[in-house]
Amino acid sequence: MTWFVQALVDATSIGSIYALTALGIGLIFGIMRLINFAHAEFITIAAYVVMLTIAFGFPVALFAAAAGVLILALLSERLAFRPVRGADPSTLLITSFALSYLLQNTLVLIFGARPSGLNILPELSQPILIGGVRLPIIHLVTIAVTVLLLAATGAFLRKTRMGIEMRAAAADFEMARLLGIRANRVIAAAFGLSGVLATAAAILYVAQTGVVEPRLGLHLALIGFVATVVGGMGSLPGAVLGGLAVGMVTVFLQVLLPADLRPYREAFVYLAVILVLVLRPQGLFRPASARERV
Amino acid sequence: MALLDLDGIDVRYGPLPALRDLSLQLAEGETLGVVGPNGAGKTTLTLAIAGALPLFSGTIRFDGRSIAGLRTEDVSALGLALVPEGRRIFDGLTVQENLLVGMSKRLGDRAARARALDEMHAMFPILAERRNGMATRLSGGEQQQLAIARALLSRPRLLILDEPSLGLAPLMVDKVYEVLLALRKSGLTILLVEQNPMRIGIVADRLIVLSGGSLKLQGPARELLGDARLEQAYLSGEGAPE
Repeated sequence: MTWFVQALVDATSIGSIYALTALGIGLIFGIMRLINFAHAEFITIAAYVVMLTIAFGFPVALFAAAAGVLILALLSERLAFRPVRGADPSTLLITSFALSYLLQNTLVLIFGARPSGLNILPELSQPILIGGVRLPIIHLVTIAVTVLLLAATGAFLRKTRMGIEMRAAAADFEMARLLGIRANRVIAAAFGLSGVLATAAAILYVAQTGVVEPRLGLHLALIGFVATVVGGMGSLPGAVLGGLAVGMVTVFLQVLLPADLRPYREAFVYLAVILVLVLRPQGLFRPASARERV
Repeated sequence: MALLDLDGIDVRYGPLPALRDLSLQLAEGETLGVVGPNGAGKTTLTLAIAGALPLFSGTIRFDGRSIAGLRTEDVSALGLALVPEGRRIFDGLTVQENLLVGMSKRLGDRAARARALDEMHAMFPILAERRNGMATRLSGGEQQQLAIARALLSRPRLLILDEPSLGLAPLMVDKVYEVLLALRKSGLTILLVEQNPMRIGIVADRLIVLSGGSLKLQGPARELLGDARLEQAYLSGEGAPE
């Protein structure tokens, strides 16, 4: 039983980070039908900003990373995506690939390709003993922070005028504009929110792994995409649940697979993803509004 | 001066012409009916006026100002509201949230916005009753009421409705037309598109008949509805993409 509780906390914790990543990606997809591959670099750059500013204390690093990525997200919307808005999805996709490569290679130029160690909050890596189960504090903190952020995002989307406009734009962008919703404002807000979520995912992830490298975000974003697809593209709760589900499957495979199959864990994860897509191609939680529009 | 003035507009979908050299004027307070067979270009016309489709050529003036090339949201801000074909209610939003999206800054302060919402609730009691329910759970007729209320909340000077009676039960059509009559009486300028010309005579002052993307006939509604040429225009409709 102990192993199960331990694995469950592990899985929820890693699933939480995937959920935050998937939500950031899902927000932009919902409104713009853009799969933003540069979300990976939003995450990576947040981690590097933390690395550069952690000497001034964690609160400063947190603020600097959030502000830096917020500005980066807004700039990339303004300079890269706005000029091609309304183009066909493949143009948007290639633009996001280009931006992603540009940012990733800039990071390699500045910091080199090798990983650097980064211990954000060393005290969090200590385990605590709850009912005979040793749980790393960072896992519990990750889960708590994610729950808070998801609740805050949910409240923003349901209770504020901007949040309601964002949901309307995600359901039918043209109709929202016909009613006077400012497309630029709504999209900028979505990018800003997605940048903040990327920062949170970056900090929680690095706090667990202790490593920063230029391809750090790529791994997370890839799983984030998978999670949005599994959850059902266009559904924000779907993205969150998809992220959690991928985290669960990953950790439980690690625990349950025989030792000689463990190196192939990822293959099993993607096998599960393929299975979901074969059985439910629309994803697990796809809303009616995400159907192809004519 | 006409509130809405279209001068020789052409709209194309790629190489396909959908509207050809169309000119029309709409005076303040007037209700213009637009009829025509399927594929005549009626929906294209509504979307082009609302700024959701680019013009290939020609000009559109609203209150003397050229609006061709303006962003959709800027056209809306000038006081032009569209109740589109198929209603296009926001899925995943409640009835009340759908109405909130329609509210514009033109309404004024918080108290004025609350008053405007109360007015809509009085005009369409079902929207007050079901305010916290999901909007897409409403019946077709109720959704049409929501779409009209949502458009009215922008306090428009020109209301465009694209086939508001399409797919509705006769009782609901009566309700929609009752509302349109009241709006017309209040002095609102209305452009009403219907495929079926029979009911439109109740509210329209003037009718235009579109067919194959161009204007075939126009005149006072009462005269045109008894005119054999109206039927002829329907029968000869060559059909351009909508």
